[in-house]
Amino acid sequence: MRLFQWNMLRSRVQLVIMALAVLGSLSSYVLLGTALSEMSVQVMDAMRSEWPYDFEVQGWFDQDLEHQITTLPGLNHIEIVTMTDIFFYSESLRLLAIPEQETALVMELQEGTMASTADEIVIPAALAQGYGIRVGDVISIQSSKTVNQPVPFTVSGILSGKTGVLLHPLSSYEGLSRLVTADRLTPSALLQLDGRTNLISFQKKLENIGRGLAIKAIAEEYSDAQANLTLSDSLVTGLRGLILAITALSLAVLLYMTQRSGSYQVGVLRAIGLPRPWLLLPAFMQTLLIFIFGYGTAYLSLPAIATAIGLESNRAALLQHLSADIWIFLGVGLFSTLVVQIQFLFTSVPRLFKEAW
Amino acid sequence: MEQANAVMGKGISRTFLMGETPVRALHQINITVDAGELVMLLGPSGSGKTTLLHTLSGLEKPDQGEVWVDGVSIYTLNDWKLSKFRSQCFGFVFQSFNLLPTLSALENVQIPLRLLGSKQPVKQATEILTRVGLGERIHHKPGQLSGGEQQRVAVARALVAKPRIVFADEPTGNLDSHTSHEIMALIRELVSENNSACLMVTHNQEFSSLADRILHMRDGELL
Repeated sequence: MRLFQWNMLRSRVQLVIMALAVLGSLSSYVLLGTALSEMSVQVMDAMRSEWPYDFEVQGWFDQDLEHQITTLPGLNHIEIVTMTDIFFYSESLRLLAIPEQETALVMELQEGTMASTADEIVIPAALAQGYGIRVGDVISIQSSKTVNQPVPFTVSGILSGKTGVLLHPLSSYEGLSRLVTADRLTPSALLQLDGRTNLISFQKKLENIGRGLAIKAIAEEYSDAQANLTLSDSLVTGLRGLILAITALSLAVLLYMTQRSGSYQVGVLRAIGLPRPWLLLPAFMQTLLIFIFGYGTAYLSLPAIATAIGLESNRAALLQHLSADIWIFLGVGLFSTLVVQIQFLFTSVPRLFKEAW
Repeated sequence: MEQANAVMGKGISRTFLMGETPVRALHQINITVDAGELVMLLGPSGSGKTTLLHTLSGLEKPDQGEVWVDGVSIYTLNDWKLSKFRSQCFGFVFQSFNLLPTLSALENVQIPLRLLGSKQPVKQATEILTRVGLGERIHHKPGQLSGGEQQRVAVARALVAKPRIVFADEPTGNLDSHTSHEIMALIRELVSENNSACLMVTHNQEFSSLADRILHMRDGELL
């Protein structure tokens, strides 16, 4: 314990610098990694079209099936959507029931309101423009699955023509029921992958679930998103590696300076018979303590810093990153300590006694 | 191997490289120091005194020759055993006192005792500190002690475990004349009390009267 105290306190300024270096680099490591990950996800989202899904799965969904799908690794988002194919004049379209849960679809209106009754419909901007349709107009829709007569719908709103906004008309579930009977309104699960998972292997996993699922890959822009994420991941890995290397190097230099200033005393201790592990242990304890300080301070301050710099990751996610990353950092710190200590512990005692060591 | 010798070196040679030039530090040295004997090693700078002391104390392996301490050829021991052997048999006094600055005089003196697993390190350390005249200053840190007092602590640290051999390398090199005499007298007294062997390297012939035997070195050889 006394040796540890000596090891810690023999160079207080360097100790403080070491603690600050660990805190700074650990914070940078976590914040930079989180920021870049957020950025890549945003870029990936931006690269997605108005139909941001990679798989469409049809089947009879129950809780068990949904659970099986949601637990597949690589799935980013799942939503169950009811839709049916329709004709509008010569257009063959897909009419969607307005999603009740969180959706990846962008349903921004440029005019009017969302359809709320069974006879209301919202149409995309291109359709409104192409046929000169306005809010309040009544249009006739015919199901492509039946031979029923066209059904009139009142246009309650027009979707925005901006990039990424949905290109399909929307109505309520009851509205869809006016076109086809409920037993023919099979819900579909729309799956969005995380951009890192291999599409083919994910499809195989889906197929392995069985249950008579009809699986359709619709990932036209997935490879672009995947390439972007791979690039982003490489960037994150590279930058994190750089931070780790700088941390290791700066710690090693500071530890070396501390050790160097006490090398004569290390020589004396070794001369009087102190075994090497006894000298190594206090150094490891010192590193451990510095990292505990760094972790504690980062734990308390990182969420506030993240908020201040505009990171969207919530507190829990950020601290989860920190908890995962601290082990990598501690490994690097202990490795640096070991490398520096070996220099001193395996140098001959007479050499440690020399002034110009 | 003669058991009467506390330490014996036979045919010790050591050569260093200065750049690419080999420099002979020790050449075929034969030396013995007996229990209770204080041997002074005199010689000019660079004559090999300190190298010989390091070699005999297990800190620097010779290129040739062997060192026996109490019948044990010390360089046949592995590092762990040699460290243990040094803590059991050797005491060291250096020119720079080199006490641990964050530890009190009492704690510094306890280090060898704790290495040996002594049951009463505080009592033993207090006794020897009182013996060297620092009974009132045992809780002082090295920074609060004068040079002479620090060297007294270092002497106490070297002798507290009653080692078989004390190696002293210029123990008065950093002290004034008056304090030097006090320290030399103290070492002489404690070494005799413990019946320890002592090999002391010094430049100063002034203290030769305290030695049982004086050896002179020049260019790596005993004269």
